[in-house]
Amino acid sequence: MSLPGRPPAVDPVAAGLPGDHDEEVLRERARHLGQAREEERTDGVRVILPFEIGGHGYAVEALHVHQVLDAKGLDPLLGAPPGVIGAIMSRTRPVAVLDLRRLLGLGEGNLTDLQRVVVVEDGDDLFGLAVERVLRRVEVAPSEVRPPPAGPFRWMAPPRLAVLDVSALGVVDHQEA
Amino acid sequence: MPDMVEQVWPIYEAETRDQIQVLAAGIMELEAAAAPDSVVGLRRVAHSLKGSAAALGLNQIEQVAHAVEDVLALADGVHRSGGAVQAMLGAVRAIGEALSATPRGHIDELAEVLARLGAVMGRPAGRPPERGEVVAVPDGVLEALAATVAALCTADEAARSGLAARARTAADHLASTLSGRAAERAGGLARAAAELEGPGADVPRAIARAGAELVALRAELARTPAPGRSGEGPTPESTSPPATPRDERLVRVQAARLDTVANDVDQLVVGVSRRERRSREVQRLEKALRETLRLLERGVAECQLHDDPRARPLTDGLERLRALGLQLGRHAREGRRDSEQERLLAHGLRGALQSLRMVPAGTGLAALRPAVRELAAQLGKDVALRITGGELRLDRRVLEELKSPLLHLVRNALDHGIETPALRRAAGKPEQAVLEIRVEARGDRVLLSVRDDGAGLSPDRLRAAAVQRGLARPDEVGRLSDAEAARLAFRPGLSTAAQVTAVSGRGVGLDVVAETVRRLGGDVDVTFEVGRGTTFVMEVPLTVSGATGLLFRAAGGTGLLPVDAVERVLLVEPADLTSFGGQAAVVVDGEAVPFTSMAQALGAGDPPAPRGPLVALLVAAGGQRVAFAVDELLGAHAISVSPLGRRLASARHVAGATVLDDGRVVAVLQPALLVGGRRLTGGTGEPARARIIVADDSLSTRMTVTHLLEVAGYTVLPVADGEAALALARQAGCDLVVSDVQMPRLDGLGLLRRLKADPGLASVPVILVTSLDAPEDRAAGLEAGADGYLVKRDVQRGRLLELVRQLLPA
Repeated sequence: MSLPGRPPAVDPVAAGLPGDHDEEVLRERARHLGQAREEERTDGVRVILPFEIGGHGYAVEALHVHQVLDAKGLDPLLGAPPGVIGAIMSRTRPVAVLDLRRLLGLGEGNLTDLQRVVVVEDGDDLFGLAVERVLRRVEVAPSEVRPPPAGPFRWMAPPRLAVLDVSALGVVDHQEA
Repeated sequence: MPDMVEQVWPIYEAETRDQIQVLAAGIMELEAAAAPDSVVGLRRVAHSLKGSAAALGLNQIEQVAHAVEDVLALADGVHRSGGAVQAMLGAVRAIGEALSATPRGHIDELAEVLARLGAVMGRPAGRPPERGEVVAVPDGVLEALAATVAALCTADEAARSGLAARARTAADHLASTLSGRAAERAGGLARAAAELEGPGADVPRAIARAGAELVALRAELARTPAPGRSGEGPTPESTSPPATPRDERLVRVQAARLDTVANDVDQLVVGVSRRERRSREVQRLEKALRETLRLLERGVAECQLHDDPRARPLTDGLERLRALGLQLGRHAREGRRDSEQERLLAHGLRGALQSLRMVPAGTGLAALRPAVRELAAQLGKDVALRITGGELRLDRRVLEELKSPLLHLVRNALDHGIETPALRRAAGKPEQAVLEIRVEARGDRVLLSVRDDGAGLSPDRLRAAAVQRGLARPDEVGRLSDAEAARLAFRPGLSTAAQVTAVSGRGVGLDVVAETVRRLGGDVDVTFEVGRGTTFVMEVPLTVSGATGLLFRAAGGTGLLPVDAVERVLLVEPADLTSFGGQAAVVVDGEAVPFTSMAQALGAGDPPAPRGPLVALLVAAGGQRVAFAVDELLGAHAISVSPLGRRLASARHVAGATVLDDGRVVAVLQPALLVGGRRLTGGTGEPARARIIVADDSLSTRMTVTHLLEVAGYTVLPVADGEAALALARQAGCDLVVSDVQMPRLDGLGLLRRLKADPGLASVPVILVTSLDAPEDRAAGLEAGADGYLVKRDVQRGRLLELVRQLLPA
């Protein structure tokens, strides 16, 4: 694993927060994201956004990340299924926020520990993952990619970061019902 | 077809103009550079040009586009030769001119254009128009039909019936080849004739109707120019000016962009009301300031400080404060006036945007034509698709959502409803089946019906399937009327399994159709006539947004219900509660209405504390009413519902979320599923039903089990964990408990031990349902006193019902 060549001058969280950003910051972030996509295509380097939850480290591929928000804006959702902790506004659209601790079987924790919401894209769907801490983006070379453990994971990044399969998270198999 | 062309024309024209521009630019580049990729792209454009022209019955454009596509497909760079490029450019130009021609889509030098393209290929270009696309009706057919109708006026019943059958066949055939109003008239004639076929018809009236329809049909046909003839030159009638004036400028906007704007406007509306609230707050502060000032002045007066020179700064300060207060008041008032004005503007904007999103239903339905054609061919069936009411406008988002349900219903009709031509012949029906999609307005709602004239749904087959799949007992399905049995088709367990054929197996089941429609705030129903056909009717709102929601607090959270689903708000005293058919009920207008807490209905567990009066919302949907107790009513809010995607799919009673003025995100509930999800068998005067508590932290398992048991006639109280189950059992009592083993707060084994230790509940049988099937788990369960132990996968196989029946005394 190597750190990004250009240190991300921007805390993704700060950039995602509505209100307290300026254009410069956004543009910088867009440039970074754009480059991340570019790099993905050319040399197979994958960019991930690691985060902490329930004392463990996980990550999502930066390609899937739509926005990172402060969990203060998270509201509980009446009638939501277990595993859905609430909803939050992502830009102009409310999105469901999943309780990763529950989905990953990490046990119940304090709601106040969840500081950030990582909003990810799964096709047309947008949804949030409530996490404790978001870390800096990391580039992973193809040689460092390892097969995933059992569960909703795509692959493993060093040192032991399971990269989530966002399309498998929080989806109930309709056939079962 | 003309109706259809009218509606879709502006869109078609804009799209086609774009395409021919791309095509022309690409063709010119062909000559210069030879990029093989670009040819593929151009061929695709030509192909889609051909397709959209064909869909609208614009034969001449279709032929030319087809020929251009053929030329582009020529190998060895022939398509790059100067001759080919010239011929294709000429063809593209001709298509462009045809867009402004009268009649629409008419190409003056069709033969010439095709000849030039043909010369490049070394074979004739174009193709004759397909059968069925010709709308012209030979005069002879109409005259023969008229003669038959005239002959219907006879006292000889047998002869009349025979003539009526002939008239019906002829009219049906006409209806399927025609379109628009003419098709409707022919259909009406066929129906009138069909009435005369059987005995007991109101003969004079039916004959009069048949006659009237025939006259109207003639008038329609006289008005409609036949494209087959118009090719030779415009007929007098077809020179009418196009519906949209040439100079009306159209702008094409990507639908997604419109949605984004709509979302932003929604945010704006929310923002404006937030500002309005702030202005009110400032006004309140100004008032408080004035009162404080009065207090100070009184103090100054009482201490007689006015004449004291030492108090000058104090009195001056007061004077200044008063002036500032006045200014503040003025600003607050102005601010409020401004925001009121902005609110009006924002609402106007929202309304305008909404109307922009309204599109004719026909634009969405047009896509069904090719699907029907293709599918009918695949299945070897002869089907005419008739669309009426396509000019009705509804929210593009509603139409978009209805796309897959409609496609499913159409597939379903073709696959299961409509018989093969041989079977139809044997049943004395015309070989060509008619599939009718009808769009009708009902105030602010719209009815979409899909009707086939096939064999009709079989309620007995559905009853058998329901029993076979363990969804119901034979005596229960026996009690259902045929109409109720037909509705079994919308039940999850049933339809998915029934869809194993290659055709309907893809995509969605009828249960998903029902769910989609209900998510839109609508409802779906099915009716049938044995041997005559099946009709599915979807009733949906014209738009999805702009609704008002009632905000309430329940189960420790806040939620919204669309206000039109809430019939009224009830204040229920504990004494008002009765029991009806084994469940809590409240009497409204002399009718016992099921009563439950919102928390329980949402599976949040906590039963209501029946201390003092309860606020309950009387919710009506799909012909059923249920009163839901809530903790508090918080008022009405303008809402625009955003769906929350697949992560909420298992919580079917949640329609989506909306943002309140203060920025809070709140769930909007789905009345139909809230009400319908409770009981399905219905019926009155049934014996008291056994109450079963179902405890499971997985909503989907909980719902599956609840569903299974409810269908079997039990009253089910679902809860999310052992703690809630125990509380409910103690408070409300129950006859049996079905519990998951692994649950938060109190797990299944803990619940079991606590129940068995409670003298009042020790005799209640407990079934543990678990995903674990290790012998030691089973032993632990049985040792703790479980009366039954089931692995989750056995639940579906009917084992759960078996066990429940064993454990519950009949």
